[in-house]
Amino acid sequence: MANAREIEKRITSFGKTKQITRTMELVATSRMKKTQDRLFAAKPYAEKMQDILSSVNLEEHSEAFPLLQSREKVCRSGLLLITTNRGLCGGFNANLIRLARQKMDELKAAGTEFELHVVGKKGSNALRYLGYEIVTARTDIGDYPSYEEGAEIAAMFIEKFVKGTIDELHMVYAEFRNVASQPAAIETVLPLQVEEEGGGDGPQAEFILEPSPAEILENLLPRIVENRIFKALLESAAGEQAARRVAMKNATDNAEELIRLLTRSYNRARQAQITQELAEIVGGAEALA
Amino acid sequence: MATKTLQCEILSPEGSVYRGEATMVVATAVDGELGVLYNHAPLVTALGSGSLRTTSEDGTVKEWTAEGGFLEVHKNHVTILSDKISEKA
Repeated sequence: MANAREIEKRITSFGKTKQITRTMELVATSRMKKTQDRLFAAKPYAEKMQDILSSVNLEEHSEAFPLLQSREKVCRSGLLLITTNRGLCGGFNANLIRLARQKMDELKAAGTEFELHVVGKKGSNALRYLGYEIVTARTDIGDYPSYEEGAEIAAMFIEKFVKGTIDELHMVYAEFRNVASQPAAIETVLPLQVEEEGGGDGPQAEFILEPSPAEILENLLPRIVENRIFKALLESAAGEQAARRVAMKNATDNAEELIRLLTRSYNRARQAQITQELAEIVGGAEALA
Repeated sequence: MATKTLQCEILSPEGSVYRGEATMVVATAVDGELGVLYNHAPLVTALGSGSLRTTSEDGTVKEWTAEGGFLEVHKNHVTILSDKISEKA
């Protein structure tokens, strides 16, 4: 049994750790709120974008727009992995990296070349360590990604896709389902896949398209790619905070439990010490008498 | 139902920029300025770089500068989407 003073030291140290994890939990909670608000704020724009897209008859025009065309043979594929810059968020990054590696293994098995682009320090460090070649790594995107950052990334891929450097683009990110669930998800960004309207919301009004459907598409399609990537950045940012909150809450709870157990052994050790001292005093007094 | 106003909303990817009623919306489309009044036919157009103005019932004019984007008119709702839009000082 360790002596009382040693146990006391450990209790103090756990108490300090608990204070830190508790603070991190609170910080993550407030950041999560903010990132979540931004995610919701981005929704109307994305929805309207989709509305406008569905007002254009795509089939007529898909020939003219490379962004919409699937390549017959995919020789080289792009993979964008979105991770975080900071750790202490549980298995959040590990899940994303695992999914990305799975996809890369798949591509390798199919004999497709691929190039890897990573957002976030955690992903780029881990994959570099594992020996993957990373073409671009962006570690400058913070807790609140801006639209411009999404647009920059999108512009790079659009250029690569149109030039033919890559034939498709997959994106691995954390899907923000709710506060408790942010599973890793994979999505094909390029060529753009447009969900067919099921015709559920009644007959679409006939829109006048100015100056021409083609010109609208030319402007609209890149915006849609930008928006998809921006949305993935936002979702990952919100997911990161949510995951960190949970991880830090668990850490705080663990610290509390440890402190409780240690306090018990501390009391026991202290009691034993007192009993021993008493016995010594009594023994001493008896010897004198 | 005497008032004939348009519901006007300006959206950017990061959130709603403006929402309000207007009697007239003037935007700069790729091929020139375009005005929208009450009962305009459904329309979708790509915007160019230039100003965007809304006139409300009491005559006040609000003005923004937009660089690219889209404008949609549907059932007296005017929606403007733009990723580069700022209020004119």
